[in-house]
Amino acid sequence: MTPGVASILKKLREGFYHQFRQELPADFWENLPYSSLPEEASMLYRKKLLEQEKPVVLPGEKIIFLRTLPKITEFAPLLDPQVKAQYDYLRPLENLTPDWAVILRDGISGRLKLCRELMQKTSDPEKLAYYRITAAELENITAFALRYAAAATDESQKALLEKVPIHPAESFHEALQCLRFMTGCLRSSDMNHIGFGRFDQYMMPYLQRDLDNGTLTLESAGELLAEFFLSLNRDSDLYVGVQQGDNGQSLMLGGCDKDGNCVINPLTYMVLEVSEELGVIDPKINLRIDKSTPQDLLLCAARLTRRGLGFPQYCNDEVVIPGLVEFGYDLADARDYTVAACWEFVMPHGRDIPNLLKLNLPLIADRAIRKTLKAGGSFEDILTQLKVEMTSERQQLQDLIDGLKKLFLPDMLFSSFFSGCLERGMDLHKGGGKYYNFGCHGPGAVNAANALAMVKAWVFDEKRLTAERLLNALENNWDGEEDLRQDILHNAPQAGNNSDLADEMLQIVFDTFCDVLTGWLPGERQTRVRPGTGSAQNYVFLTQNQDANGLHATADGRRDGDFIGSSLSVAPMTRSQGVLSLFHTFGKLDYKKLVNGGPITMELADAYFKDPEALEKTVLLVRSFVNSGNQQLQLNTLNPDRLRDAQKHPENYRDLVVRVWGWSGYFVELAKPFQDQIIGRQAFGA
Amino acid sequence: MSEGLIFDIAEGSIHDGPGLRITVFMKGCPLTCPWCHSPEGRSTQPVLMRFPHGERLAGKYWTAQELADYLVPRLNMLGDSGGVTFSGGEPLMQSSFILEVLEYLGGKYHVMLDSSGYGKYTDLLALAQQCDLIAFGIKLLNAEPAQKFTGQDGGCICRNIARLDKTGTVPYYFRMPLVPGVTDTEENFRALYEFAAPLKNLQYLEFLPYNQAAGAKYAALNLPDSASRWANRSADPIPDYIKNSFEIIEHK
Repeated sequence: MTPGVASILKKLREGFYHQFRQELPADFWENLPYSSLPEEASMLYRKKLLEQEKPVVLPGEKIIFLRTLPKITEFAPLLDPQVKAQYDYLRPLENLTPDWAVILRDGISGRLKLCRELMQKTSDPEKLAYYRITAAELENITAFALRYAAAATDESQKALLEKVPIHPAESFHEALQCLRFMTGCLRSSDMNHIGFGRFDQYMMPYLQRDLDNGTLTLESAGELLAEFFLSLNRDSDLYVGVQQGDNGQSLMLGGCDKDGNCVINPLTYMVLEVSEELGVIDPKINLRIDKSTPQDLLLCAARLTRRGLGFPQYCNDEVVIPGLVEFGYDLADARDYTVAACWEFVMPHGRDIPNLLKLNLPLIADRAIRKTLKAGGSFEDILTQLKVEMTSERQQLQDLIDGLKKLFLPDMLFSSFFSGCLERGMDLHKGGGKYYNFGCHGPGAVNAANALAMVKAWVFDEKRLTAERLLNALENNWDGEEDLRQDILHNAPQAGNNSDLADEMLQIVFDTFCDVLTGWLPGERQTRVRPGTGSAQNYVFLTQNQDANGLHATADGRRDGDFIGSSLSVAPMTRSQGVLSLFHTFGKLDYKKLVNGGPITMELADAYFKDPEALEKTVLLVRSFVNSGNQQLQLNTLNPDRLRDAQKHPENYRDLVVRVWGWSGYFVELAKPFQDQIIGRQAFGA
Repeated sequence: MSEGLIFDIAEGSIHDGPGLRITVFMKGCPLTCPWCHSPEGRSTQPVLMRFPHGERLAGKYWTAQELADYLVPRLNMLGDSGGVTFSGGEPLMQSSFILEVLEYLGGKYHVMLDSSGYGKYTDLLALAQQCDLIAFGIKLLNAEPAQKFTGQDGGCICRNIARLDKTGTVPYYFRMPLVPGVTDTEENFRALYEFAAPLKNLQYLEFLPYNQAAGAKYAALNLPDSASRWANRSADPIPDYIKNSFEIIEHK
């Protein structure tokens, strides 16, 4: 690490950048210029916020921008209340990646020029309004950029800030600065979870040019990249999602081009190396791989895993791309996929909402089990009831979606860099995009499968316990049946544990889930729904509930309030036979249908990396993941004793990073239930 | 169909042969090495281990078909970069079971044997003919200390290995734990050198550090903790004449 980078990292750790924060002035919300046009309200609000921003340009800084305004909790405050009332479920645009290549190529001025030309050519009033507001957005960004330029502390900063994002970027440095500045502008009005997409692809031409003309070496480029990454951490706490750290600053590396050719390049390696060197939570790294991924790249990725940040997250192109094509995405778009904030696959041109929905799979299985057993039914009846319950839960999602008259506010700034919306004169939300699908998470499937497998094996086949005894145990939250509960946790068939029965139940749970969601076309756009294996925050949300109709004790030995697993993982309190058994179990799933994503989540014990051959082993593990036909993988590190100590003495662990679900955060900044769920995960040894 | 008694299976081991491996620990061992890290592997019956946090039964019977069904999909995942290792306990004690499993595997995977070399030569030869590599866990080569620490004088082991070496059936290497004052003595290194020097198919020598790690298992089996009596070693005890004569793999 160079002294310059080390100094910025130190300042970051010490909270140096917080001193520039300001409160919104008391009169900020007074005399607001309401608009009844959502597009305009959105534009005016961003303008007002950017005018309130104070440029922070520090001497010697090469990557410049720092948010000073606090986290925004008001959304669309400038929208006429009568219009706003029509938005039942208003939320900011999120989980999308703008077309960064277009921003870099055209700059603000290029888009503005195109916008004005198109305005001349149309007389359609809607399009005219679209272009008028887009032009205003772009002009506002220009004005803001010039205020930053005026705050430069030297000539080179001034030249940089006058150049980008207003004009096209021409160097790696300018391209990084443009990204940093524009992500700050896009996120200014609480538009969170805006990702960086296929970073090594759109950035490599700029790096290559600098390497070719001798402006940069790989080393000096790495230093710029480090400064860029650090800048993303200086204010990311202001973009908090469900928990601190859940901010959507993720990027994708590797993969193939539209023709399927491998596109790994020197920047792919550099991102992994710089991230390893810095050890900070942003950006979250994803890596697309397949059977032909070179050994040295996987070793590089394994070194990052060893750093304990919970990334890279691996995506297996051999499984992901055919699934996306099967679902209906064009092959060229599918090959260009990236991920949203966590793991959900998103395509260029898509206005998918990949994390809108979820079905509570352990609750659905539990209802099927209890109702059928009470009625004296067979195990076949339970599986029939499973589909009935699943369909009934889907109806509730239908009601939710039908209630969504309008979901998102339009955003002209985002639209002007996305999928030709500007060229068509139509905002993304109004049809400027190409795909409009919803994603549905399937949390807790392993718990659901284990419950079904236990009932099949112990109640029906082996008759080790009666239906009545099980029903009583569930009603009483296992009180008085602790021996039985322990017996189930240790000895009943479990997914990931060399049980064909439990694996089959897992397949049945997900097949039913997919059956119920496929062919269902909710909402006014007749939107299709992508089923996925992710849990997101639901391992806490679904289990820590006071809802009488919620998830309580289940037949897999779970007590009320016990956690369920994170995405695809061993059920808490049970042990898997091992890493290959997990791959074997999850490799049986039908990923041609489960196309929303959701990683196998595997924790490696701290001792694992003490072994000098651990890196080679990690590569072999990742290759086994590909060979077993699995879709996504998170390899995290875990030291439960250390985490318990961190709960007691958080002041000593301020930099301790853990993987929470699709993102990594600082352990001590998490709410306790999330901390507890992580501590309870199984750590695999050497 | 025969049944095998297995006390553990490790998925994803990297120390029991080339690549990523599945190691099957066969229960039952004729030796009594006091430093053993798997004392639950000694007896030929399932044994209950009582830990402070709960109980675990070490030892489960598998049919050869069951074990093969378990191994095949996992070995397929590993492709060319791994295989299966039969360890123990002493795998020679269940050689007919292992041979039956290997028949199911059909010669498609890299198979390794991790044995002390103690057992019937016919069993060793039969297994060696189906394996790609053998690790012999050599401890003590002189009769007196061997008898004292391992309960056998080591003669059988040396005869078996020397005899197998002449057949040229399979490459093998030696793994020796460096137990301070026991296996890392000058006499033992000298005996090792004299035994190993004429062997033609010996690939290399691997030395494993002694560490005090197995104590909890002894307590769980209600045995005196014989494994923690030595201090962890600091200096490198391997003499130059060994280093200069063989390829050495040394773990720190």
